[in-house]
Amino acid sequence: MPDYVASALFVYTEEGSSFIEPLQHSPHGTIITPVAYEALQKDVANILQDASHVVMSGSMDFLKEMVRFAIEYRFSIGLIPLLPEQKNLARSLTLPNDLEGLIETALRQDAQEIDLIFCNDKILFFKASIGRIPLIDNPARTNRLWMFWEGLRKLWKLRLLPFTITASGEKETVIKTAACGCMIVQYHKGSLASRLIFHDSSPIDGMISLVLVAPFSMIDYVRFLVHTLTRSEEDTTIPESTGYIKYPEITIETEEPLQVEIDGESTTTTPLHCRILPGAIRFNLGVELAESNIKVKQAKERINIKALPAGKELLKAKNAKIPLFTYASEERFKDLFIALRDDARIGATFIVLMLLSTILATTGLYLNSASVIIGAMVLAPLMAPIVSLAMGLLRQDENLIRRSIGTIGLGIFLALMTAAIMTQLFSYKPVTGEMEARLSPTVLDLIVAITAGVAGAYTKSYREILQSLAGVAIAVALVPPLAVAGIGIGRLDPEFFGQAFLLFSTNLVGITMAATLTFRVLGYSPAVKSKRGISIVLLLLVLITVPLYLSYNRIVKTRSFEQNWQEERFLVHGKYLIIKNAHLSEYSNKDILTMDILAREQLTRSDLAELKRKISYNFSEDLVIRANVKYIP
Amino acid sequence: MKKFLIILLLFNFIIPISGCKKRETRIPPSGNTVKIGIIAPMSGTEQTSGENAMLGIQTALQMQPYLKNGDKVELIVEDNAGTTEQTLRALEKLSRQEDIAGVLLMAKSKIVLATVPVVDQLKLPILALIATHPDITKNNRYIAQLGFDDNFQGKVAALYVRDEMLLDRVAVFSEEDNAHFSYLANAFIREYTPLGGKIIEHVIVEPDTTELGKVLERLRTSNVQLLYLAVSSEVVIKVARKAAEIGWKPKMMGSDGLMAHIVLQHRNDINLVEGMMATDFYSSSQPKTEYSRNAWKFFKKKSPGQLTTYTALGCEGTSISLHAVDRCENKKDRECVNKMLRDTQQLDGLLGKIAIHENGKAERPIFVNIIKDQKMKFLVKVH
Repeated sequence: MPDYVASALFVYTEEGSSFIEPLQHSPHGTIITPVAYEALQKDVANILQDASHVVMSGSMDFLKEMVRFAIEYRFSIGLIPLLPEQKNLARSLTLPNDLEGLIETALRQDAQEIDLIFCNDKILFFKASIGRIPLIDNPARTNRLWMFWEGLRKLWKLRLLPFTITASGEKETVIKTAACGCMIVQYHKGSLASRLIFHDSSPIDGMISLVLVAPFSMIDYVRFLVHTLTRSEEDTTIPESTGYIKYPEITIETEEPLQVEIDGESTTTTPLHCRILPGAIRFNLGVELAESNIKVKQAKERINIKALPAGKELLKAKNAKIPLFTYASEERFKDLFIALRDDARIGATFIVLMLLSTILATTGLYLNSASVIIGAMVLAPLMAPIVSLAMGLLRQDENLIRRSIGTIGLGIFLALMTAAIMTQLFSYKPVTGEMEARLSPTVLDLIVAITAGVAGAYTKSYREILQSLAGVAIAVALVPPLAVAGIGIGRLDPEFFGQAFLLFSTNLVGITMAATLTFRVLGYSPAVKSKRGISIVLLLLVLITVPLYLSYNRIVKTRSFEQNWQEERFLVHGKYLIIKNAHLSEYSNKDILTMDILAREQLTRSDLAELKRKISYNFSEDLVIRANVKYIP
Repeated sequence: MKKFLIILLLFNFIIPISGCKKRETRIPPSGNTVKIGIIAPMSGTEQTSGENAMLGIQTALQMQPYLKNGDKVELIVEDNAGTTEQTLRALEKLSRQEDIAGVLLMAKSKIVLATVPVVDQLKLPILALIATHPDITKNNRYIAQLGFDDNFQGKVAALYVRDEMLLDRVAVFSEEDNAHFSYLANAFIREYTPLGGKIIEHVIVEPDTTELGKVLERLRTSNVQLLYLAVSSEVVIKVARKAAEIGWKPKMMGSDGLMAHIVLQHRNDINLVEGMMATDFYSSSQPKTEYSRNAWKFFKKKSPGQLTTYTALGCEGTSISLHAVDRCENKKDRECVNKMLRDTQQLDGLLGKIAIHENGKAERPIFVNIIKDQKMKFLVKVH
């Protein structure tokens, strides 16, 4: 059974006068002395000097004034909030919802010390907010779908505002950053913002908790919404795009004075100086808060601002609407950039792997062996400098671009020369199916390259899926087309070289463009944006699309021609000829039709001449015909 | 960035524009008219096929309403009601009109054969649209054939059955008193036997025959693998129905126009002939030529009717006639038109090239189609 105070003053404003009677008739045996606030103001010292416990009810301003008296006269406080107007306050103290419960709590004799925050000398009960704090400035129990929708609605209005935050404690730290808004939160479970830091705060930890929300882009913001709304209570990580500072004294400065809402009322402007008075007052808290208050958490200064804009990023963040895609300074992804610079460097490993993969690819091409060629694809080291080039172009990093191009250029040169020399050395130079497959690049190859580029950039960005790069390398196959182009040089056949090199160029441009865009979507754009890189890649892409599109059209035409030829029959001098396996290929600007002819009777020269006449008569294409005659028994 | 966007936009505009073809220049009308006579069954039992052919003829005329010199093309339609007498009468009538450059004759072989003795006197160039009897081009200088003839058709059917289907036991059906069917059946037998195939029986169907059931029973017991049906669609349906009654589902092959007739006149019985093949002038699932794309556009726009072999032949026949007239200096010079008609080379038809040689015979591909899922599907194309 809890103990109740033997006597208490009940100080009230007009709105709280209705509680006099219930208090006086409460079953807890407390003698209540009601005092109207106007009366109290006339003789504060006399009335409060001997008061040990004061129950109060009235407007927010009145309550804050009474808290000041509580500090001065050291009485404990019991609160009967005006509902529903003061529901946020009641919720922050975990007070009951019903009058009976409120009276019972207010009259208990177990008041606990709690910290009191002063911001610009104004008392803060539960929160102070500056700027737009989407989503987290909501009670935790609000419907999540509704919150998500409301959060999305604010998407287009979000701006990052420059903030200078000075955190003073054992040492002073000045933080220059930008955020959509920030919020000082007093410990309570009811607020979504408070929930983000619930694991790390307490009403008697002697610290002020500041939460900043700074999505770099719309994509980041949506991720932030999803993360915040779906995180579990046990989750102790701070969501992305969020910063958290916990210090005994915090000063917030902005370029232009911004309105500050304290406990839901706009009362002051920035600069905002907040300080904490540890254990300043004794309060009759609700059961939940009182119990958690017993488990005092260790007061430790904390600054977690990794997710906030810094350095060059601030130039972009300055009072501007957030862009669609995220950007980042190099410092933010230091490891990735170091890895990409390494990839762009010409090293012995690169040269050795390039030579080996080309030798393997050229041999596999001559052997017409898909498995050997796949081995060459996996071994090929070209993907890495291409991905580095993509990043260089995105960030306009001339050094990275120069290095990547140099490495890719050397790789191309090595592959072409190796394959050409090998071809020269071989006395038998057949055109195998594997070579032919790389002589007709189409728009479909560009699609493969683009997809591989996306995958390449993605795998590079996430170490945990780095092993997938082998699959990407196989999909896009950079070295085999180069080897075929080299074979073309070795055969002194410019068309052979041109077609295969077009396929390689398709892969190169496709991967570069896709990787550039993927890096951009993933948030690797430079803080100071330059569109030149993407423009160059897009221009190259458009240029390369033209021959590929034409080539694709030709393939469609060829396939449809071949398909129709499966059903063509010829009656030649009374002999019925069945056409099978018709195949159309192009060589030296001539259409070559290869086919099997199934016949029952022996074909003479005259029959074949008539067949040729019929073919030229019925098909407008100028065809060179190569037929393989098979006899049906 | 702006410069780049401008380049990109220009690029996007230049490519499509460069791919555009020049619009054909419109022919200014000369004020003169050239007439083409049409003799077709616009009444009687053959009315539907006549009307279908007219749809094709009108489509061709919409595609080419003027000759290259600007002369307007006009059609003079004469109804022959599907009879020899009315056909002869119509031919005489049209021959008397001096401004008629040529005639498109939509009549069966039997009727066209009946005109052979008179056409040399009339000196009127005639293009027979559907008649396939080889003799219609014999003993005269004025009848040309748009379709392949029955020799070619019978030979292709025989070769397809023997060399492609590898069947060697066939029964042939033909109709009494039908020159086309009799000739076709004989052409098939003539070609099939030397190929190693065996004709188990040649059944000549009489108009009021009641013995079909017994005949089919007999053929079944003789292990006949295919019925070659050189008969009308009515007889085909009768045979198919009787076969179904005795629980026999033999392979069947018909001839030109059969599928069009079944689609037009025996729609409800089409399931009886599921799986039946036929040689034909056209097929629905073949890649279109420039000519057929154009024709289809006009046909779709103006004609609510169904596209059949008759429609297609009407369309092609008109275009070939106009092509012949176009090449004559004097558009009404029948001798010239006749000569040009018999000198048609590599002209684009609906599904391939068409030539008409000096002897009046057409060279064009023949299709083997099949009825599958109650629709006509393409099997092979024979050149």
